[in-house]
Amino acid sequence: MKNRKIENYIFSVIFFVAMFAFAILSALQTVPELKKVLEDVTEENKSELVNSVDTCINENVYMRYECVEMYGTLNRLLGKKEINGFDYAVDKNGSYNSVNFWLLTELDAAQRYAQQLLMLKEEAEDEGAEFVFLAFPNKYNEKWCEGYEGIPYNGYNEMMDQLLLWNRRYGINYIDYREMLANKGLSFEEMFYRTDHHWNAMTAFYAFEELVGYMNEKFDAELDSDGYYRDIRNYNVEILEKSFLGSSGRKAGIAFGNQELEDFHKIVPKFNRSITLNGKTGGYLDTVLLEKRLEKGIIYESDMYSFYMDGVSAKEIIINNDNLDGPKILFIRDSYASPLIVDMIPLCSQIDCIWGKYATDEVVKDIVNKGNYDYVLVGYYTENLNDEFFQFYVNDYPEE
Amino acid sequence: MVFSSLTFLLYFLPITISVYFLLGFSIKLQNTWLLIASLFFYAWGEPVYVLILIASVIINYILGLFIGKYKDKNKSVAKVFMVIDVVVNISILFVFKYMGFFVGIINGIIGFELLVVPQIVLPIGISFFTFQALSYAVDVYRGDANVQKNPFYMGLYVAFFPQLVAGPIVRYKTIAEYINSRKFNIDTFSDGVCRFAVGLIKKVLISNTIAVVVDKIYLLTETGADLYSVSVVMAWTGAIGYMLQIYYDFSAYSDMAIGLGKVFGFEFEENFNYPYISKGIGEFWRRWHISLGTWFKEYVYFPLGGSRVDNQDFMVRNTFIVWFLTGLWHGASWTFILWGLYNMIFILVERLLGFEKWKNYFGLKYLYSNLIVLFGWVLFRAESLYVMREFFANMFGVNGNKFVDATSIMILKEYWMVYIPAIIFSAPIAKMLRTKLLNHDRLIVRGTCKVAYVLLLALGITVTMLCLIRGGYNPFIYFNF
Repeated sequence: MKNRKIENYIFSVIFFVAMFAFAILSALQTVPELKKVLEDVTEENKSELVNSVDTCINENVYMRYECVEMYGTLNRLLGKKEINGFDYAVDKNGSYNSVNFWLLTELDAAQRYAQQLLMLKEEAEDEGAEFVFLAFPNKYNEKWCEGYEGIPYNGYNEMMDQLLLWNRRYGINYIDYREMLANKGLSFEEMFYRTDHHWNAMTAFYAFEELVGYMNEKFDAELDSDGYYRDIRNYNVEILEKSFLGSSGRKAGIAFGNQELEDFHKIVPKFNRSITLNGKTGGYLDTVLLEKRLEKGIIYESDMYSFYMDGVSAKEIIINNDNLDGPKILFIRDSYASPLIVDMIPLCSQIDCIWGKYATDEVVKDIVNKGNYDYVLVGYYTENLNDEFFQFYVNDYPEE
Repeated sequence: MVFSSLTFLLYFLPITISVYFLLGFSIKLQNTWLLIASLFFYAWGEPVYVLILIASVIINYILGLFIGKYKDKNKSVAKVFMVIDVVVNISILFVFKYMGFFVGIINGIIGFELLVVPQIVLPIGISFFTFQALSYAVDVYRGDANVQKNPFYMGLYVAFFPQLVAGPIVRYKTIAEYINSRKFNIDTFSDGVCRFAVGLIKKVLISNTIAVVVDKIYLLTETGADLYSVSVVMAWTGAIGYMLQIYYDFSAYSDMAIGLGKVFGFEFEENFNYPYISKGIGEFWRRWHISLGTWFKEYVYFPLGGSRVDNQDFMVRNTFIVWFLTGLWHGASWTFILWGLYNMIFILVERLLGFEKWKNYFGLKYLYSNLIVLFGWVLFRAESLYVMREFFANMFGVNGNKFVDATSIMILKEYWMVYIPAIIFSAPIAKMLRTKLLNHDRLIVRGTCKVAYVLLLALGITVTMLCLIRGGYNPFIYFNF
């Protein structure tokens, strides 16, 4: 009896009971989804069937999100500051930040990007449009964050510094929102989300104020002369308390940062406008503000930030039917710009938005020449300063 | 499909085991089911190359029949069929694994691209299953095993999923009896389950975790010292990390393969025996990837004459051939060949000096052995001679790099809880402790040890499942071979 490995027998029973139970419970969730995957198989995508099935199995495993949270809790209890192989790291504020040991784009590329912006600027000016580059801020900034020593928190600020340096040399107008926010004296919590990489809608509103002021001063744009649209009292600002989980939190869980759900700013104008977005006409809540994104559901699968403009799409054409004499804007942008664009609508007749990664050479040249714009804006945040977002004027160089 | 995936753990394994035991009344049906499951397992990752696996089974089966038919009647004819079998298997391996490399060499020698370098994707596990197939033909020829007349049983030997894609390389003569007959044994079964669980824990909690650090440090090294300066401490952290990662990755897979084999009634030979407690490189290779070393010894070294040759030059030649091929087996790259020859140098020197017979200097011998192995792994991991050079330069601070920086300290702070246990358990400390406690006279001690074993395994598996469910980095180093 001394030599019988009873512990092996016991563990084997535990192992198989747990394995079969977990497998059955997971299968109950997975099989209906697998049927959908199999129904969607076509001749074109059948080579991806195995990957699709694997993904479906992984995404529908029983207690998936509870396990993500348990894993995050375990990491926190072990005193770790990074998670998921340096996907994210917390700073001393408990905020999730992306990590990059090295820049994926060399700093030298900043000059080339500035040249591309210059070519776009010159083309826009030839068509009678003014040009501004909007430098959206990185959430992690030593001006308002304190990180743990040695963790290479998102270092793309350096890239933006280089780009703006070259912008100055080439005479390209820009707004550095990092400076604006630093001067505003706001706390981190007032500007950004802990569990998401975006700024909140209030911060985007301040950015809108700054943009309008800049355009009026620089170009004599005469936008919002009485300051009505830049007065927050003309908007319904509803704070949805403890309801938001950002993209970082959805991947790494809340427990890792010892966080709770965050407050979400829902800003809806008190005034109404007739807006046409990609052919669909209605008010704000019918077009550019999507309340369905705020519906309570599985928090790990919801993206409340997409309340504004449904996030970001390849191309959006927004027409303000109540101000057809207003300026027409081309906005090459990323997701940071979404709430800002909503704020801009009443001042403009039309805003044509192109997601930066779809702003190819062909698309941009065509639209700038034919669009008859008054203003061309390019707005990127620091992590999007890479080749994927600078595909326009790739083979064009400014004259020496 | 990999063992450390939800698809395998929650679907493939429960279904395979359930059907297997439902067919317990017929070993033929059980073997057929295992073959079907194995082919499905392979096809999941290689839906096209599974045909190569099936072709390999058919060819080796047919040639095996001929070898078996003629080995007693006409040895020369049997030898011809055996040679054909060897050529066919080596050709398959050459085409898919080495052709690009050798074409590149020819073009390099000529000075221009005379031949187009073929872009062929390496089928998973090809080095393992072709070596197994070769082993079958040779064993039958030598009379070490009977010819397998059942094609499904032959297929099962070559394609059995536990050891199909990353070994251990199972020689036919060691497994033949189990294919033909095996009986369920609760001790073997439960031992297999525990072994599989240990392997899974090692793979996910240790190997995968350390892999994150190692890959980052190697990538930083590749960027070059001009763009990123890797400190001495970081370089050593990466080197030691890879030494641990490859051990836990590969030995874990072997644990899982051996464990699953036991679940189905097969006894595979051990593939690792705590190699990092070796006191020399010769001993290291008797503890590391034992099945590969045994294969080369039986099918290459001994047929060449081994070390029992009158002229020691032949012994050196034979050793050179084996280690050249060992390096080449790991990959079609100069770094792998250099790594193989690097090991050969130390083995030869130790043999010539009678190193293993030195009774003293145990501490120095451990240190020497692990340092040589460590440097060898740097060479092994480096994807080019440039990276190898940069990494060594960083390790010894001759790249203008600092000794330590904040990022190095941060990595140690974040990962010490994996590095320390990994280092400790690379020695048979847990095994010795368990054996001592289980043989204790007092029942309470034995009982506590047993309870702790179950609880620790259960905890380990639970945390492992948390890691797998949240997703993340899950490489398998030996899948590349």
